[in-house]
Amino acid sequence: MKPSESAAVEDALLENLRLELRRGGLVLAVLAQLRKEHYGYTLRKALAERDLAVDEGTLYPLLRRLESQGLLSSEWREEDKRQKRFYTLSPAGRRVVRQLVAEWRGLNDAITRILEDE
Amino acid sequence: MSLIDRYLQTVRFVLPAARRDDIVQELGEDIRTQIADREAELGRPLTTDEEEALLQQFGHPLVLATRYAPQRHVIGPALFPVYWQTLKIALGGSVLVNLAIAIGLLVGGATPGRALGPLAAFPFTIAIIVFGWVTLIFALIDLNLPRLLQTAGFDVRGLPEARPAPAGPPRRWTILAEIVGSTICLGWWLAIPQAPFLVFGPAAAFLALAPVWQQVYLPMAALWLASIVLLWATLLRPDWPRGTTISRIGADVLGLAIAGILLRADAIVELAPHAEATTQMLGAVDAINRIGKVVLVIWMLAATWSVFQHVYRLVRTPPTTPA
Repeated sequence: MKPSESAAVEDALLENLRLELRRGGLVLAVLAQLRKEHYGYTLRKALAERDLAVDEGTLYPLLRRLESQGLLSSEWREEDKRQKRFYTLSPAGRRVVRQLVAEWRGLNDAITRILEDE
Repeated sequence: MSLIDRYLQTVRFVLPAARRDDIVQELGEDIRTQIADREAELGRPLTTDEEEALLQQFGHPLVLATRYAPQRHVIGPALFPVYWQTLKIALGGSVLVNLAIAIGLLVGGATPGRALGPLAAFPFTIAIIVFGWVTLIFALIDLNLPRLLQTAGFDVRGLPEARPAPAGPPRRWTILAEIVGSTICLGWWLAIPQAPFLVFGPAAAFLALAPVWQQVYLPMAALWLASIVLLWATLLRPDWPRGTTISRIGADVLGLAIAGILLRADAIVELAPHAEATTQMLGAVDAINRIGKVVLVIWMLAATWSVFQHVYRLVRTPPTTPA
C-alpha cells in the first residue's frame, strides 16, 4: 500500500471511530438539553453555543427516533406566527437521563484515570 | 418552485408514508425560521446562493430522508457469515453438477454448443434460483432468530465440552447452516416432479431421470426430512450426543441403501421422451450414467466411513441420561 493510500485508510478509520465515539455523547447531550423545551432550530443553536455543533441531517432524525422510543414528547405550537414542533423530555426520558448522566460521569472518570496513567 | 420546496419534495419522496407530512412540515418550518433569522441579521432577503448554502447544511435530501427510516436488513450480522458460507457451498455445488453434466455431454460426443450452453446460462438460471432460495430462507430465519434462540434456551452446563483449538466456525452455526442446506434440498426434491428443470437446468430439454428414481423418491424425501429433524435435535439438545449419533448412523445406512438401489439400476438418467435419440445424445446419456455411478460409489465409501466413525464414537462414549 502506498503511503498516501495508507494515510487515507487511517483518516477513514479515524473518522469512523470519531463518529462512533460521538454518537452516544450526542444522544446524551440532546436529551440533557431537552430538560428545557426546544424546537429543532433553537436546540441546535443551544448545543452550538456550548461548542457541540450538530448538523441538521443528524439532529432532526435523532429527535424523531428518541421520540419514537418514548424518551421525548412533542407538540406543534405557534410561535412568532410560525408553527413549530417543540420537544421536551418525557417522564421516562427524565429517568433515563438521570441514569445516563451517572453512567457518563463514571465513564468519563474512568477514561480520565486511564489517560493519566500514560 | 423555490429551492426549499424542491429540497423538501426530494426529501418527501423517500420518507416513510405515515410520517411524511409531519416531518416535511417540521423541516420546512425550521428552514424558514433559519432563513428569517439570517435575513434579520443581514437586514435584507437572502440571495439564491445563500439560500442554497443554507440547504446544503442539511445534507443530501435522500441521505437526510433515509436517516428517518428504521434500520433494516434482510440478513443481520449474526447470521450473515453462515448465510455467506451456505451460499458459497450451494452455488459451488450447483456449478460442479452443471460442470459434470457439461463434461458428460462432451465426453458423449455432444457438440460444444450443446454441452456448454447450460453452463454458460448458469449465472442467469440456476445461480439466480439458488441465490434466491438461500437468501429467502435465511431472511425468514433471521426474522425469527431471536424467538428461535429464546425457545431453544441456553444452559451453559448443557453445552458441548470444550475442544482444544477448534478449527472453523462454531459448531452451532455449522448445524444451522446444515439445517438451511437440508431444507433447501428437501424443497428442491419435493418440487422436482412438477419442475424437472430443477434437476438438469436447461439440459432438461434432453435429459430425464430414469425410472429407478420413482422407487427411491419417497425414501429420499424421508431421508432429507429425517436429516432436518436430526439437525434440529442436535441444535436443541447438544446435551444428548448419543441420540443424535444413533440417528446419524440410521440416516447414513438408509442413504447407503438408496445409493445401492441406484447403483444396481441400469441407468440413473435417460434421454428425455421428446428429445431426438441421436448417437451423440445417447453417448452423452451413457457418459453421464457412468460418471453418476462413479460419484455414487465415492459417496457410498464416504458414507460407510462415516458410519464406522459414528459407531466407533458410540462405543467409546459412555451413555448419558438426557437432561
